[in-house]
Amino acid sequence: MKSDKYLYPPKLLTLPEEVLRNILNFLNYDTIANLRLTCHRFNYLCGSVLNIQFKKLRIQVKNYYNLEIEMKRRLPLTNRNQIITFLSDELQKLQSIFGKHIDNKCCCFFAGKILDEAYNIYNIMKMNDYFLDSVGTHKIPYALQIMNAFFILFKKLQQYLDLSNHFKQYF
Amino acid sequence: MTNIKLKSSDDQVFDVDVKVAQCSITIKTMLEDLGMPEEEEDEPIPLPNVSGSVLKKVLEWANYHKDDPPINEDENPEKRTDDICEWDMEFLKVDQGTLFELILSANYLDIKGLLDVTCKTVANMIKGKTPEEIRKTFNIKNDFSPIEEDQVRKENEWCEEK
Repeated sequence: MKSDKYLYPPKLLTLPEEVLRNILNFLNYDTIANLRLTCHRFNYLCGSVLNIQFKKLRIQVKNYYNLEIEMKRRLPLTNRNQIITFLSDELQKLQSIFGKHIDNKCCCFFAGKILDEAYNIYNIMKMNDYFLDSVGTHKIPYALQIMNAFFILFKKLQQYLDLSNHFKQYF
Repeated sequence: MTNIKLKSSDDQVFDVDVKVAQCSITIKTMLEDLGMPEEEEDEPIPLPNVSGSVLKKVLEWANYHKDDPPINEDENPEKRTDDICEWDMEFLKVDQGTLFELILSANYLDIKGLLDVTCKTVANMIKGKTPEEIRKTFNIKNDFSPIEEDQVRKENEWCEEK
């Protein structure tokens, strides 16, 4: 009966797509980018996960940024504003690099490591919301460190984009 | 304590505590729709996608975890895979075929806890490996042409030290 529906015994690649996506949920985006190299199915699946998450992150950060502006957060939070503005701007830059190629299905958002870093910053900002009034911004220096790492990554990505001949012919 | 009967794809019948069976949202919904069985002679609930040997494992897991608090879902859930409890680690020391069968069953029976822990186990088997090692681990055929493979590799090279 089982063999009607699934190949038996099941293998990783014969698992339904929803299940594979569930597995990918537990991997960071750098690992997901790496997994693309194994075969066509994972290339397609991981590429789509990277694109979806990039889009999702941009929307979340944008909403957060708007909220921050709207609420005109108090002075000690200037750091926060800087960070979220930075993040929002960088994501916008990435969108202008990748956006049209993603739409044209020429490539996916392959910079998984940047997604990891950006989600880190975003989650720390969100987490900080819960105990903002009592503890204030004690986690922010950490966020600044990550932001710095993110900045370096972004530089590297740009270098890569500039240097790569492959890219020039591709885009 | 009420018991119900579950029938696997190969016609094995299991007599199970309702609380354990209800770890499966699929079964829980079925019971809500059909009503609780009242008589002992009631027909067992057929589970055509789960074999007896796998159902036995699933029920063993559900019995151990029947009192777990429900899992809450986050907007950006943490990607932790190092929080698998010792009992589960021991429980999941099985061959890949069985592991994937457990995943398929957890998916079909809608048991989030079991699905998560089995998926985490697979995620741990992927982490820290090169693409070639991943292919070897899961018996994946490299179906890229050399040009395609090179293209993806180049895209992934951006963050490496130059």
